[in-house]
Amino acid sequence: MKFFITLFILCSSFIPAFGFIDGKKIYFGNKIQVAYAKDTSSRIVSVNMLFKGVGARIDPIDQEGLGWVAMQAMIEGGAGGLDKQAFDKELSKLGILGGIQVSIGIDNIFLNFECPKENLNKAFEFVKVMITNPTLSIKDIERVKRILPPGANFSNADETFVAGKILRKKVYGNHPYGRLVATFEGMQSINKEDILAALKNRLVQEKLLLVLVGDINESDIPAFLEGTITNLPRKSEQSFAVPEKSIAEFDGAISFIPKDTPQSGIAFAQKGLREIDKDFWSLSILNKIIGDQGFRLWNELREKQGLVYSIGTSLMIQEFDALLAGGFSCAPEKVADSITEVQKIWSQIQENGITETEFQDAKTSIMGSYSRYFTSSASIADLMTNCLSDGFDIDYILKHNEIIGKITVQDVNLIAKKYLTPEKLSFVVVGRPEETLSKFLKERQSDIKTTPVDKN
Amino acid sequence: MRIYIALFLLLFADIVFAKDEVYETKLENGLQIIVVRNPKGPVVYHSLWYNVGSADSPSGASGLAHFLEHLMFKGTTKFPQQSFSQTINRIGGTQNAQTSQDATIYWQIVDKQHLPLVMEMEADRMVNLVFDEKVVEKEIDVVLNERRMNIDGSSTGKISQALNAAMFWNDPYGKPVIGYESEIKEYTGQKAKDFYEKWYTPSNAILIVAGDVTLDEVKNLAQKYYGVLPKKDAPLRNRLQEPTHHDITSKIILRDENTRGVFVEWDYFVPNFLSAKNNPEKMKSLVALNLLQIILTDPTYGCLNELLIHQQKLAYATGSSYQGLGVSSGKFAIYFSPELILDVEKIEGIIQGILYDLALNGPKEDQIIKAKERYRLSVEYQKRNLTGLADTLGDIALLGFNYNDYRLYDEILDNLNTKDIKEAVSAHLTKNPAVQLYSYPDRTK
Repeated sequence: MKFFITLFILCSSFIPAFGFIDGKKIYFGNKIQVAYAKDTSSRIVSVNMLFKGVGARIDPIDQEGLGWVAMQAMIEGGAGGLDKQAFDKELSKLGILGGIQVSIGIDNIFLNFECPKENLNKAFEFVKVMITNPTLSIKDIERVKRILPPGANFSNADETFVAGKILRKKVYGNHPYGRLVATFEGMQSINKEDILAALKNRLVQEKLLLVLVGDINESDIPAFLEGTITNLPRKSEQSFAVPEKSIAEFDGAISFIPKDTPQSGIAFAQKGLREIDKDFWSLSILNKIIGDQGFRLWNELREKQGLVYSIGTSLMIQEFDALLAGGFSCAPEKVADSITEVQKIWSQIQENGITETEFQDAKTSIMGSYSRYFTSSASIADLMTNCLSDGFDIDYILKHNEIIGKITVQDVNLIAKKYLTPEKLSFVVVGRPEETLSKFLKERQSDIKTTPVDKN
Repeated sequence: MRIYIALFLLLFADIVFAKDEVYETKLENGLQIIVVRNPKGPVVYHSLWYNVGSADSPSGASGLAHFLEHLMFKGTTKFPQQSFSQTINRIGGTQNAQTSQDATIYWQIVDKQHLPLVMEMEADRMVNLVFDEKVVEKEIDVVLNERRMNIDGSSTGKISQALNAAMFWNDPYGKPVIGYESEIKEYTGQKAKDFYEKWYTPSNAILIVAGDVTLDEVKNLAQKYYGVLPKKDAPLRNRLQEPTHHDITSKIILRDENTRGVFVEWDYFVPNFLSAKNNPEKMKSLVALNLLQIILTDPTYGCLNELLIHQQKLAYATGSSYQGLGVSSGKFAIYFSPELILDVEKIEGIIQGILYDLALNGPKEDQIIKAKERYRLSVEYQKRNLTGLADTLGDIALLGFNYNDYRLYDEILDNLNTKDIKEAVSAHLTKNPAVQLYSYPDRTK
């Protein structure tokens, strides 16, 4: 008992006092989730708008890329009777120097901009006009359909990136998380009506999480949103299927996809955890120890054996599932040894756990880097957006380092035992066939694909 | 009545600028300290600004200041080899350093609890740096590579090296910050060490800390780590003087196979802010030059932009800049990229015409209002970052200006009128440019 108390006091000294604590979550018009934080250092307000659950995962099967095309066509074609150049100029006159940025992922659609406080109402008016009255000329739509988003574009992508995408497809199968944000085939049939319907059904009040960081008070907020954001459609007319939870399947196999490149790209993954899951932070410490620069894989494969130039792992998190995934690239003749080493380290950690030094280093780094979110109002807004979107309350931000501070090396070792599955760690290799590799794949009875990389 | 007052306060609150919390002090050994309180969260920006840069490098060793910046990451006895960078990584921080012609800056952004640690390490390497010839040799290769990449292999690098050389015949601003290849190869540990011992001392440095900190906190820590370093004077800067150019314009023509578009730049000699210290009248004309950049080429309101890009569609990019925060002479640059190579002369004529018109009639009232608004907006954008105001104050502190001067600048800007800008253009931008550069894509290759 005494031990526990000292430990707690020791940890509590890490708990930071946050200066911006005057932030909270409110509901506006009973529908819109709004969170704000007061940052008085500038009169520029950072605005994030997250439309949750309306990302690429709800694109119709035969229109992969509908969300992407809708967003691109919306921002590339101007709105409210103004062409793109005139529209951007009006934004700039309001002091929105970076324009309105729009992006789409598998789960969500995200808009953000920065604007002086006194023009916020006008800024939201422009957002409304952009969403509800975009120009959408046929020419712009056709142009947009010829461009793939960076995350779905395989031309010029390195082999590790390609291997990662193939691995996703392999573990998720036909689940939306195995899909790409867009494909050329999927974009082909999209027309103006599809785009209008997508905007109307996706960018709705009910799905919106709005985050504001700047020199503002709760009482300012109605004036910003009244008549602007409140004029967006209240809810979708369509209902969208919610993806199944935790459906990823890991067979532990090594899939080989031949491609004539000097370096081979390798991706690997096993089941991960999401922020909302109980053991997430312990696994997050473990992930750092496995895959960050200066830790296990890096030290063994790069520093000691010189097998790879760079290697790393991360937790790739979606709303309903997460992967503990990694990647590296290496010379074709070193693929077999590298994979063996990764598997070995995975097993070692699963069986024997981590050292106290590794644990302290990882913990110190995670806690220390967290505070870097507080270097600008925009990154504070991102932090709040992530936190609320993950299903936490805003005070979770303040508790973050406290939660991590309480984790012990024993906790992490338990997690390693429980969650690491060396025998199910699945690999995808994209690269040149090579003798040692063929032998290795045969030994492992791996699944050798002869189909080339996706047409994308 | 009460409602009226509340309403008034609310409106007033909308237009008033966020208040800066800036504190300045000095340690006995001469280290100047600036604290920018910015309690966004538990994070601090710790930066140390040395009042020495590449233009202070000894003759025949161009870029030595930049080379020393590299060596500063190679360890002391207490924190050997890579441990500076490793420690910053370990505590989840971020760090870097920059060398300019006049200054060398080292900075870290870390969780507030680690401020003592970074101070200890930064203070340690101010006096205890280890110069190992083997490390020096290896680092020479690193810098040679950096030079090949950023100057010899880059069109903008080549342009800037050529422009500076043509602009400054004798002043060391004429040499590239990274130095010349032949001179980099001749660096030794001893040369770097001599330079280090000469210039790296508390009285020649400014400590700037921004974040959730108070002056007392910073001062106490600084006293503990920096305060124990011996007091030692740095030499006075002795820059070679630029001779008169007799109103000569140097024309540089660059043909580069790696560029696609045409790029034209005109550079004028103009006074720097240092020369206007304690001279409000002169300061006014320099603030006017700053505002002029916006009046000419702001992406939204600039008159050159409007005319050349939007109305006549002759150019696809225009820009201008006033570099007045240096020790040597200031420089005003105007540049553009034409849509067609044939239009260069026509565009030059239009720019000339606009400058003469501004010198004769000044800008319209509306142009000045918009330009002031844009300037204030850019200041607000800077301040939303932890480092924004701190860096601005660092830039002016290197020249001996303080926060009061910063406010004074604001006041001058507020009161600036058409006549002031007219006079500034007439005094500085109706003469011949010192340099005109033309960069063309090389189609012969």
